Amino acid sequence: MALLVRLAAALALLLLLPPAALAFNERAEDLLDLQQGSRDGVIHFKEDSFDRYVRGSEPRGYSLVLFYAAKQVADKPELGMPALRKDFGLVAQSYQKTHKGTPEELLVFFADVEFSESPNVFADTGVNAVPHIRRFPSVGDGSAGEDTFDLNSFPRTAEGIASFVEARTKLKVGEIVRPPPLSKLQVSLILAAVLLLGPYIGYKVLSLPAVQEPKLWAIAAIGVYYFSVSGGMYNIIRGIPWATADERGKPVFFHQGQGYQLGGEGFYAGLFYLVTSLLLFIMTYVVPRLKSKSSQRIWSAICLFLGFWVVTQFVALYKWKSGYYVHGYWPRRR
Amino acid sequence: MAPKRAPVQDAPPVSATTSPLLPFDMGALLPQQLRLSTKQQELLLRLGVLAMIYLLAFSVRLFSVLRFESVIHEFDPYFNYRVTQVLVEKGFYEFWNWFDHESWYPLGRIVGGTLYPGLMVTAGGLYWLLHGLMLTVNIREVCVLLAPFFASNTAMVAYFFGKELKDSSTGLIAAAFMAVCPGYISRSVAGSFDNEGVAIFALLLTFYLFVKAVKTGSLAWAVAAAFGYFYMVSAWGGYIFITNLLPIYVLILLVSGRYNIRTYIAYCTWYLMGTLLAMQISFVGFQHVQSGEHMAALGVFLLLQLVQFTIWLRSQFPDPKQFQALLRLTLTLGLGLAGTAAVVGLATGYISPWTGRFYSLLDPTYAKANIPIIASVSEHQPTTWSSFFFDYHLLMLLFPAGMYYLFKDLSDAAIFILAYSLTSLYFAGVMVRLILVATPAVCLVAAVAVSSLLKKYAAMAWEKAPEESGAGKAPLSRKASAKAEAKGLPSQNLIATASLAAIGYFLIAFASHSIWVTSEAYSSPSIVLAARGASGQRIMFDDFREAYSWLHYNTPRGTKVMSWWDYGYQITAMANRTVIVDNNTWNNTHIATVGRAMASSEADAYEIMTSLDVDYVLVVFGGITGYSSDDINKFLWMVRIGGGVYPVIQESDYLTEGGEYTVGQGAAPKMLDSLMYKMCYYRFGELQTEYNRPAGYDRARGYEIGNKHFDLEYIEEAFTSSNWIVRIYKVKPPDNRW
Repeated sequence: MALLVRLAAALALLLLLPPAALAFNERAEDLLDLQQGSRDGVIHFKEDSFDRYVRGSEPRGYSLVLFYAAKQVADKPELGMPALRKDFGLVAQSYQKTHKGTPEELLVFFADVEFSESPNVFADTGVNAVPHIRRFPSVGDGSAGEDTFDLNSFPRTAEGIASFVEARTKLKVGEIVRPPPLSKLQVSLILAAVLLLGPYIGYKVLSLPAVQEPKLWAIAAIGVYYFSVSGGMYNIIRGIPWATADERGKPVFFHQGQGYQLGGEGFYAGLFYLVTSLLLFIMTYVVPRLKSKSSQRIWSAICLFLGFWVVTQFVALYKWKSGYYVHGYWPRRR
Repeated sequence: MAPKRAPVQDAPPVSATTSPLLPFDMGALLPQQLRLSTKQQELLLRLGVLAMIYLLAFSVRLFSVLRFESVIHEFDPYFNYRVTQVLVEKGFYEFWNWFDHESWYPLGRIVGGTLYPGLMVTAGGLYWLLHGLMLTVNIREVCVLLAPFFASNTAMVAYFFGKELKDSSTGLIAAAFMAVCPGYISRSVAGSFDNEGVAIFALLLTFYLFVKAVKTGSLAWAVAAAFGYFYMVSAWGGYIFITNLLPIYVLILLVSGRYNIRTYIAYCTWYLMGTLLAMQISFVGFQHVQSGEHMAALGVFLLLQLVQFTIWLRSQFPDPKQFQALLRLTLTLGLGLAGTAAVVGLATGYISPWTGRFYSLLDPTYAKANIPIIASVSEHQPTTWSSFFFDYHLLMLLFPAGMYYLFKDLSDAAIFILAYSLTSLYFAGVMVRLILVATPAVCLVAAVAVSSLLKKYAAMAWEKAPEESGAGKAPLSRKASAKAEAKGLPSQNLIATASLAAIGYFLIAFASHSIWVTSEAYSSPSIVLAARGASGQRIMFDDFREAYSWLHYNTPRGTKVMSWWDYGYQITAMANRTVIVDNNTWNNTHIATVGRAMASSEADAYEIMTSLDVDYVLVVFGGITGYSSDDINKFLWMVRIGGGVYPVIQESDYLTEGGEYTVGQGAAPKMLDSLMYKMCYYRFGELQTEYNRPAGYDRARGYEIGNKHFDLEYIEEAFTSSNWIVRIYKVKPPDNRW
């Protein structure tokens, strides 16, 4: 009797639910399984899974945020793809942590596709540049079509992606938790070691005879100078490549126009400073030590001439780059 | 180190009136009593050159006054100017306790506790001094000309520093470089009444006094250094560079075995007095003992006590073995204890950790990853090689040679200038604006190179015959004296002369570059705009001052004017009217409220504006003149900042469907409905701005606007400046509606 009642109740429930609901719940449950098997909460899609979970004929009951990646350009620093992919994983994890065990965990899923494996997905959705993040909305959440995470107007961080997801799905992602690079125990051990050994080692190192040698310091000083005035910091902060390629694939080392530089260009320019000073050094230090008077004269003349030439070359490079034309302070009639 | 004034000391004493410095015998032209010895002639020449440098440093910075007029530049200087006005009108105590109710309405701002007063007090002091001398100048003239005046003084300090570094001729060249170096001019032209103007003087002065203290070990110099430091702290937040460089310098002295009791006296006096004095500035307060950025100075101070203690102990112990054991124990214990204290202090929060801005200097990628606000300011961008060359020119090429000469004759002063120049150049690479801090160091190092070269070749070129060279002229270095008998060959003279000519040529090139840069790049006041007309003539747009004086003469005192924060300082200073937000961006919510009002529809904005008692709204618009840094181009920031506090504002609502920002065809409806759009483009659609273009063609953005015909309901146009750059609207009172 009890069994019969239960059966009837189950039947009634089944009848009450629309059939489509069952179907998309089933797909969502599948995605949840896939998600648990994934490394960082981001499901890896191939063409067939994309067809099943995104392009399937039945309406979806969940939003899907898809990260488009391509291996062949993954190491290009200006794209910053690995970092963005890592942050994407952080967003997925914090969403799943926030909504664990609630019905919301079936509402948003995170996935990625790889260009070399599934080119058709890229062609199908019209994506031709990576990194690219797109959301495929669920049915009935109010938003119309698919929408793209605009890399230019959102910050390219986990927080940026999270605000995108929150704005579009109206669901909270939750706090982004970044794993610290070192655990607390490690940090305290290292600190203790540094505190105990640091002064001793420092004292030992500093009393080495090599450290007291001014020549070594001079070379280091020139290194710091060269690095600084060549815009080495600029290259690091902006992640500027050594050189770029033009449309025919030829390498380009120089950028025309102030306010931007390529990596190689700055160090090339810095070299001019060093060469000029080296010539001055030769003229004032090396030449007077030469034995023969005539060679002294010849070398002085050569250095002088070379120095002049190097400086004019450098100024020519600078003029080319900045379009700078200097004139005296008498106003010219125009 | 080369002997001071070497050429003079070695001159033959018998023929004191013959001058090796001048091509003719000047003494013969004068009566007997006025004839000068060589030494006196040299002094006279030196003073004459210094006087000319003093004048040059001042006058080269006057381009903006000549071309525009005596006006204060840009934005922040207007605040400084306004505060200075309060200082001279109401006195020091009123200034110090001033609560400014005319900005940040209705919150107000405690001015005395939130600024570096050094600049204003300096300007006020000069003003009182001039009035005491019966020179009744206007306070504005004092403010406009303060930066050039201090630039001249900085050049003088550079002279003394160069003299300390090598000799007086190095000092002269350093002063000349300092006077015209574009890296410094960029922040010290007439009218730029900003903290940096006096701060670089204070910076170099402090360094000079400290180097002097280390050299002499005299308490007087050390105390003077502490007072120089106090002046620097009172003038600019960049004092933190001194606070960290001096300990680094002392550490280097310690490591290189140059430490002695003189260093101890100089550093400890500077540290103790400087810290106590700096605490008197209420904006700095207890930071010297509480913030992590100041801890290096404290650490080195404690270390010096330890070092000096061990030195004392050594003198007490007869047995070196006992002493060694004790030394090891004290060193390890002492440093370990200091380290633990630092960690405990940090962990308990007594010592605040480094601020992001400071941290981003040490790890340059930090700002980019973690603090976008700092990364987004253009002054905080990293520097390219061409910016370095633009601001230093010849000095860059001479710098390594100068380092070589400094390393060759290592003195304490040379070590200091090397440490200073390398650290500051590194920081200048991280942030463009820090080129300013590196400039004095670069000038000094390059001056060492130039003076060494000039001396060497001048001595060679002047020599006539080998037999004279021994007695007549001073050999300038040991090498030169070793080769003395080899000189006098005609081609040697020729090469020396050619070298001199080349150096002279490049020095002239440097001067003309500097002056050109000053005139073209660094002398724009940005309150009066200049453009070139179609036939090349200069056109001035004086709309800002026109609009501010309109406000001043046509509205009652206490009128509240709402504008974007960029113009807050100018409105309070020039129009004397109350503003809602200004450039001291201390309250983000308040700014966001204004941003929200600008981004809302007229009706919504009206509610916000009435809640803030706003009487007038001011916008800056470049659609007719093509002025590109106007409010329409800043509008997305208003939306972003507004949206950061009020989520009703969504950036995407103001972009086209393709995610573009435009006010032309296809602009987002919210964009076209926003208060900002309406105020900028009210009746703009009726105006033809360019020949062959339809009416309502925006010249700043280069397209036709999206909505040309609309009416204003809650506000009415009150004033539009002659080139439409500033437009002011009156908020209608509520009873006007029915």
